[in-house]
Amino acid sequence: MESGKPVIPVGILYSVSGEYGVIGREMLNGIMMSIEQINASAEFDFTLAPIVRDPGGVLDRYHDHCHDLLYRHGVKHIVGCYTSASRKVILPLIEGANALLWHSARYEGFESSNNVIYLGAAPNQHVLPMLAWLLRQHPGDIYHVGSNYVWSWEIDRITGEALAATGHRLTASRLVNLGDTAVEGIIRDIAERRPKVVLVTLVGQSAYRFYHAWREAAEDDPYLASDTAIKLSLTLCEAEVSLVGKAALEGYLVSSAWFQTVHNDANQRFLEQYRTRFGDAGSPSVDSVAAWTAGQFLARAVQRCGGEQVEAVRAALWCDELDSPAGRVRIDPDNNHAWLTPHLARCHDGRLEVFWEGDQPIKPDPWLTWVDLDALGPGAS
Amino acid sequence: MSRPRIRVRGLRLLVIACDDRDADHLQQQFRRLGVEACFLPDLPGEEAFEHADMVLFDGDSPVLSHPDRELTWPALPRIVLTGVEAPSRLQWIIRQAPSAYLRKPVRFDGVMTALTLARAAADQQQAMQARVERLEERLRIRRFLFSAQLMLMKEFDLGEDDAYALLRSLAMRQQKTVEHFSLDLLARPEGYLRLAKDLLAG
Repeated sequence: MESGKPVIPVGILYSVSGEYGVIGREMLNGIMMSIEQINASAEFDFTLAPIVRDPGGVLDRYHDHCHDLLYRHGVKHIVGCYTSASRKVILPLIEGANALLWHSARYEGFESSNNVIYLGAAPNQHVLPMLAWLLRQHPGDIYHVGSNYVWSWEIDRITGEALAATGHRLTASRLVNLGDTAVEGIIRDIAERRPKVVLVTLVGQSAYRFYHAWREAAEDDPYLASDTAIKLSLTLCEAEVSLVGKAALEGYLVSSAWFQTVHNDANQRFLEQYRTRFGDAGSPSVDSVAAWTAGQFLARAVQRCGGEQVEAVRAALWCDELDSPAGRVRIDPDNNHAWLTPHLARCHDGRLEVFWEGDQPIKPDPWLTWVDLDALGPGAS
Repeated sequence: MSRPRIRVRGLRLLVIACDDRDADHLQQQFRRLGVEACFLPDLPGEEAFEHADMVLFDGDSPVLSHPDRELTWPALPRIVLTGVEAPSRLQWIIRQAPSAYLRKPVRFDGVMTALTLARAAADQQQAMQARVERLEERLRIRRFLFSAQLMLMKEFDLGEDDAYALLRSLAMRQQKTVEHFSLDLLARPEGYLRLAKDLLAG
């Protein structure tokens, strides 16, 4: 490098092709922009050299690329993964090599590896704030449609348990197989049963088809066309709104640790830099911000401890706090998850507009140990 | 009490819906242990289990664990491979009533323990089940015991305790439980009452 600074290799393992390639692209943008900023900064005595691999959403390729990054390239740090299945596949390799995985995606919790830094939200930081808001504002039964994998299963459980304490219930839990786009039957069922609240945790192509199928069916059905039903999503992000089109998503309420419309100086800077770097085609998501944050935390910890060794980086990281686009963020030494501030947004005219945010960052509780789901409803402390 | 012998050689397993890497490691370890295994992508029909001693399945498999699907397992010990620890997944695993578990990714160690514990747990479960069935049967016919006791009290002008003692010694002579003997007594009182009279006369 012309800078003459030592170079630290960093593995990047995001699927920019395949089932969830759209989200992978925004995560890759986030970490690449972060690394470019670090490398251009005089604050750091080293540069980061990204080694980028695209597993294409195929689990075996996550394993093979991860092995290659660890043992052929000798990386100690990997930023990547999106689905829990992909993380579970590479976790034994990461732990075996005593490396550190910087995991940017939100997930269902119930994991805390010493070799993973979890930057995405745990359920107590985005599922529970949405449910608490809903139970205050619109108490009632919920119709759940999701994908048949652990994320939707777990949200189904959490929602069912939280509702039971309020005397309401899940009236349906319709889980379709990943990638399955035959959702018309579910839309017909919704039109017949006219639920007050519909919770959508579908992902990927199933989700995109569901939004379109709803809109198509709404042409002949006044209930589907009206805003009688409150539609909730725990997965929608800005890049997907661009992909699906604003008409099909109008009115959706979304919970996330970050939206483009969060107001703070760090976010304004981030959005401008992102637009400058990737043009109008790019639309950063909460996952892009988490990936960007991973790069910043990694570089600051390396700078602070003077090396890339995992134990030292982790210890330095625990002492750090970042003024991020999502607000103040730090990593909890108890469980390696990020403290994050919950936000709720409404999709209006293709924008996810924040209408509620938490007072402060919430301590991550990945095992839902310290929360009582029975006490989530109104009147609870 | 003698210690149970620990040997898994000759066990025949059906391994269901495991990914290739786990299947490779299982196969390798099975060879060392002398365990025969047949690897299947999904739960087969019941005839496939005729020559199997045990089942092993992936608890995270989306093929097996669709919420609309009720799995019908044969009465064989079951080992579940677990990766995800989220409670919704554990609730599903509980419904499959496994006898033992093995964490993913599968390595060489732990396989022997899981096979051994699964078999022991299934044996204990079976013994417990048989005992429960025996006790339930006795409970079901318990009301006949009271009728039989009452019959003896009236017939021989006995108190409650003496009537029960008489019933018990009659049952012992017939090598039956008190409950089962009570049934016989109520069905055919004449002969047994004569026997009781002889007994009382000493």
